Amino acid sequence: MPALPDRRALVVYSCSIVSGFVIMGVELLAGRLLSPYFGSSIYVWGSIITVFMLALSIGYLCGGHWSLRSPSLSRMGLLYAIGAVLLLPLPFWGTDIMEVVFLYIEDPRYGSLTASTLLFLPSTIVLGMIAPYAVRLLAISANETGLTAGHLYFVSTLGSAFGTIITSFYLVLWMQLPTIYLTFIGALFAAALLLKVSANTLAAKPLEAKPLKSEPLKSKPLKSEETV
Amino acid sequence: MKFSLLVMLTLLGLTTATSTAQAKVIHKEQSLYRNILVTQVGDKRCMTFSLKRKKGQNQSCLLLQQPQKLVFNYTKMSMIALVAQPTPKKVLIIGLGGGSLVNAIHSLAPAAKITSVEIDEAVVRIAKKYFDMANSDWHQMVTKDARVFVKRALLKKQQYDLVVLDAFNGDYIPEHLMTYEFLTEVKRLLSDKGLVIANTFASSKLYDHESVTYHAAFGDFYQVNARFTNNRIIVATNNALPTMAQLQSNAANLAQALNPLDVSWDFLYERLIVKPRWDKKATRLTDDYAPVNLLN
Repeated sequence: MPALPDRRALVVYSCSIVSGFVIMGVELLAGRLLSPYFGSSIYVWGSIITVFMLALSIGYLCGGHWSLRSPSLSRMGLLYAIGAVLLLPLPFWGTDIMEVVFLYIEDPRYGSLTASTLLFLPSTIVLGMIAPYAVRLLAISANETGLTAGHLYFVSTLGSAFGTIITSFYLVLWMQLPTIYLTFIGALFAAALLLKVSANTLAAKPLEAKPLKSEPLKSKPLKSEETV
Repeated sequence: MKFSLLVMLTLLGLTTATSTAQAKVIHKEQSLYRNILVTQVGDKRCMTFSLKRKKGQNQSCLLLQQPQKLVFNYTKMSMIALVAQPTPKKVLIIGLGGGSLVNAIHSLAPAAKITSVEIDEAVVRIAKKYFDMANSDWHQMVTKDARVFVKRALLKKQQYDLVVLDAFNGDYIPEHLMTYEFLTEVKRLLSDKGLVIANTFASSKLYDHESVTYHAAFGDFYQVNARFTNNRIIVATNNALPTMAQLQSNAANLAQALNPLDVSWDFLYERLIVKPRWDKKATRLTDDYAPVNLLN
């Protein structure tokens, strides 16, 4: 077990809960957003899930690469801020975008796929960059990378579980769709702010002082009992 | 203790055995959207969407020997549509099921061209195989989500004299087919004398939300209420609602055609409510706010 998470790590974990929550909340509401134009047939969900998986896979790749360049809390905060800005079209121009797609694409399968791509791909790519980036910020040594990644995925996926149940059980009952989106956007901005502030106040232990530098990990050869 | 448990289990087994002996399952299918069951008891063949027998909803039944006769009160109540709009040229039915409404409307308005829209390809297939549905010069079946169909029909500037809203999933009406925006789209599909009926059975809070939403889209409406269940048929129009005298005279003209369906003006009149009531403060259901299943 690594030592108890320091305050920096605590901030990173907390923000990962927020992004996990928002990703699944947005995905869940996507069905509701698209149904007036593309219905609630199974291919609408097919389109939504495809786009989210695709976006996350691109996001993981980009986030991993971006973490090689002087990673910092404030840069992680920037991902939250960009993700929030990219979600802004949903509450404000979502219907206009779908209206145009509906006019030009008659087949509701490709219509819903195109609309999902336009509405959800950019923001989800950026939000997907967060997880590998957070792993890099939390990583202490090569030996414990797996453990760190495990903890991070545990926390962010737990956030996703909460995002799914809270959105579908309660938020849709309490709020209008655009209000829910604005709440998510607000939460992302709050996380961005927290990361920015933490970057300034918790700078005592800069990451660069850790054994890991921006070069790729050079892990020690594994001992035999470590290979399972 | 053990003995009584055994007795109970045996009894339970017996009752289950007898009830399955009564209703023979002739087809069972898990479609993309639901479980579909075709059962038969004697001469009565039914399509059911739920394995549980909950409120008896989502059923469409056909009497094989008397195919014209309507089995359920709510389908009989739906015939208010033809009494209110006796000469529709174009009819749109949303939610096919076993097609009992298609047949009934055809028998009352043989000149009408009927389009039925059903999301589930399996329902269409089963309706063809077990319920004698077919595409013909007067009936066209479309497999599509109703919301998409309505939006496309608006783009093509199509108009209908009668729209029947009868789409159900396992629980209730799908959310996106209950919103103010959807009902407004349906209203725009109606011809000048166009009429819409909706088969609903909202209970609890949803009744108020649903009523507020229909009123916002169509203005005043009539409803036909079942006596012992909470089925209600909402009757709304593009323009003015028919007067009671009009309904009565239309019913008199249709009396002969209504008879084989086991429907009469008295039956409808006893259930007709001209000034329905609801809690006017309830929130309107919209595309942005429609937690239908959480309210029902």
